[in-house]
Amino acid sequence: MLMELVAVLIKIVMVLTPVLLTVAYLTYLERKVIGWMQVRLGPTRVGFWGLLQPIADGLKLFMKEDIVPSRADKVVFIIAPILVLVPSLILFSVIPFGEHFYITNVNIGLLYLLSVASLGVYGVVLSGWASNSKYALLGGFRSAAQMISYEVFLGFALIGPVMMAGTLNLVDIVKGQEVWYIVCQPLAFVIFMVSALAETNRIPFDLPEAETELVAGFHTEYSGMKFAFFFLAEYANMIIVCSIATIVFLGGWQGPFIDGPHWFLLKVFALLFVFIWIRATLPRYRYDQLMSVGWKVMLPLSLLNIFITGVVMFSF
Amino acid sequence: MQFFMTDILKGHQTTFKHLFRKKVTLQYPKERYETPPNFLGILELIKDEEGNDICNGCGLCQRACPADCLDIEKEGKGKEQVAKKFDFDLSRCMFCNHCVEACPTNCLIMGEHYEESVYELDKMFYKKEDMYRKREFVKYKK
Repeated sequence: MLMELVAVLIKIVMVLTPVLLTVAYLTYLERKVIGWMQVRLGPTRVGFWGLLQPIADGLKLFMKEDIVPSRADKVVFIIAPILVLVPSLILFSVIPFGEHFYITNVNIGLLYLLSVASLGVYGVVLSGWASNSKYALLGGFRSAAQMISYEVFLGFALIGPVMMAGTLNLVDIVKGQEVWYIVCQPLAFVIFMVSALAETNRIPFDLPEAETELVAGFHTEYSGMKFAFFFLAEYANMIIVCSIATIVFLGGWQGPFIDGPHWFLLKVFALLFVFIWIRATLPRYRYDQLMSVGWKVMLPLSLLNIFITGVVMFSF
Repeated sequence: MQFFMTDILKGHQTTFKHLFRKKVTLQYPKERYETPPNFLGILELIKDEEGNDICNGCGLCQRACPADCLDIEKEGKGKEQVAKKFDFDLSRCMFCNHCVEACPTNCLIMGEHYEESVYELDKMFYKKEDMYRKREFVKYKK
């Protein structure tokens, strides 16, 4: 019993430590890549090539004063960032990084991912409400509307591959892919990536934290470690959606020459690079554009994809 | 409703090309632009080849200065006339080059030096010997 517990704890540490480090260094990668794309250098000062920048940032946020606005709802204000961060971190418990490299293997893995990921919305809405600030409130509302509506397409996009795999178990989904599902389900992949951008509040769908309108959106009033929690959660969510895309569409850890986890990381980082690339390229969508793209285009397309998948599977 | 699909792809192509371009950032204290030949830096006095003053203290630069940053007194008569006092107040100078244009002996120049941040205001008042001082860029150490 005790040995099992220790083994699980070791597994958790082995997964969580690299994840948190990756989250930190993802900010560095983003700043560097966006800098290069804008013909700048990006961070260069702290350490060689600015490599210690994320650690310096983390230390700074850790040392900063933790301000709670006087009229804020204190308890909710403190709970909200935790509610955002925890779901995005516990999602890593079911991600299979390799064939035998995962914390746990549940047979409804994909369902678990989608349902727990949607819990993050509560933290965002509550933080907007508890801050007692108009910017935060509007940001929270927007975020709720956006995340809830795009969750629909995120789920629908995954139905096609799940129909082909015939299982919700993530390991079995990967094992079922002789040909990567991106080949048979390109439309689903595009829909998934677009809704993933909206789910993680990234540019071009970063309306909840649109600087030009809402200062910083739902985390306007947050500072110090609580702000860092929101920040970590955003980047952890990015890694999560890229991992889901890798598992479901890009064949997970499968690949020639190098072993599983490395292939997995390579694919995840390729997708993360695409996320950053999109951020460096596109401007922000208007709110009505976001909603009309969602409900008028993505929903019919995802339903069409499910329909075609069903017809093809039924007839062949 | 438009989607701008082709435009989005074009945009991505452009940003991807820029990823590998030479960066335009100049890391200033470590590296500097070369100053162009007509650069207007801090005012300097020059000497002739034998090391004698060329300035004869005629005071035309003082009259030409709109910011009133020069204070000159002359000494001697005729060919022996020299500037006894040549005070320059850098804190008032606006680098307009009027004094250089007014100078009949061409001993005033606006050099290529421009870094003269100091902690005390007194250090911005230049005496005559300071005007001859060879100024060098401070090497950035770190």
